Amino acid sequence: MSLPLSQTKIYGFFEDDLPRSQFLQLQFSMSSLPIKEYWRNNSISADFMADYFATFFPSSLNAEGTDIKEEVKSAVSFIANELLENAIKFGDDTSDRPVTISLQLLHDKLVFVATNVSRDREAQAFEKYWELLLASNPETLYFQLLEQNVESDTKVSGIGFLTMINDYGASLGCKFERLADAPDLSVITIMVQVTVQN
Amino acid sequence: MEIVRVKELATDDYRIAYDPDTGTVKCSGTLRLAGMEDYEPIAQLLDAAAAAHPSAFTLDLEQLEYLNSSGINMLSKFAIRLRQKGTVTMTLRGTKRIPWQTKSLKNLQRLLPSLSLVLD
Repeated sequence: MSLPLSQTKIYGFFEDDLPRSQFLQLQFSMSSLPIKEYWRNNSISADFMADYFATFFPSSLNAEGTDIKEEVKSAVSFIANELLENAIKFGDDTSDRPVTISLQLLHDKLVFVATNVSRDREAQAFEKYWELLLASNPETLYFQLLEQNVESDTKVSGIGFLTMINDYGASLGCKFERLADAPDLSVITIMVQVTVQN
Repeated sequence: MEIVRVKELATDDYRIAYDPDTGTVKCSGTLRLAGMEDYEPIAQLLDAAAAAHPSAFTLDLEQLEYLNSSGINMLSKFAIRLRQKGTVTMTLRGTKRIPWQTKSLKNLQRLLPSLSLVLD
């Protein structure tokens, strides 16, 4: 019986060949501990990344009268935290592959890339979400999901990515790669790009 | 007047405190809980406090440094519930000092048009 070919699907804004410069990457092994035990580490990691990249920006006011350094810190902290929460919540904890998050500063933008391994059920649900995201006006979808969430007790709110797009002006993309040697697992790579003033 | 049973929720990361004299719930610190179940006690405190001060309820977020999307979801559901009941007049106090607040709090106003949003 031949192994199934690995399949790749890409949604949204996704660039595979970005130059690697001014680059920070964190890798986390999936833990067998209950998520609650190490949940705080998402926030700790996100804030570390925010402090790290804030050093590249001046503490000065931009055209809107806000402090550029504080804006960058806030954006990195929020986006990195959301990406880590997503990876931990939907990642497969039996996989050897670590959850990774990287951030790099290109000349006019911050680029976040987060990866995790997911089982079929989670990966398929996430693909459906991406199809919905790309077919919708993000502002309309945001308020639609919030109104729907009031009625139901859905575990996944889908609000995090929409907040990145609507409130932080982010461009999002996602790559799903089926693994040839583990057909019920997919590597999910999420890319978030935010334009910054330097 | 209804009595609010739980007046404070606090951990090393955050503090949610209800002041019955001013009809205010003040949130400070970092709110990045894992999901809606974890936010449930906070949601219940907000519901009870708002019901106890329907003519003038204030939610003070001026010292809430970080909020994750599950937290945004929880506050949004709270705002929608208030809109559906239609009996509570609410003021939301935030600060321009904290960038996420200037970006995301206005969305709550769309969910609850009667909301008075004050960003100092």
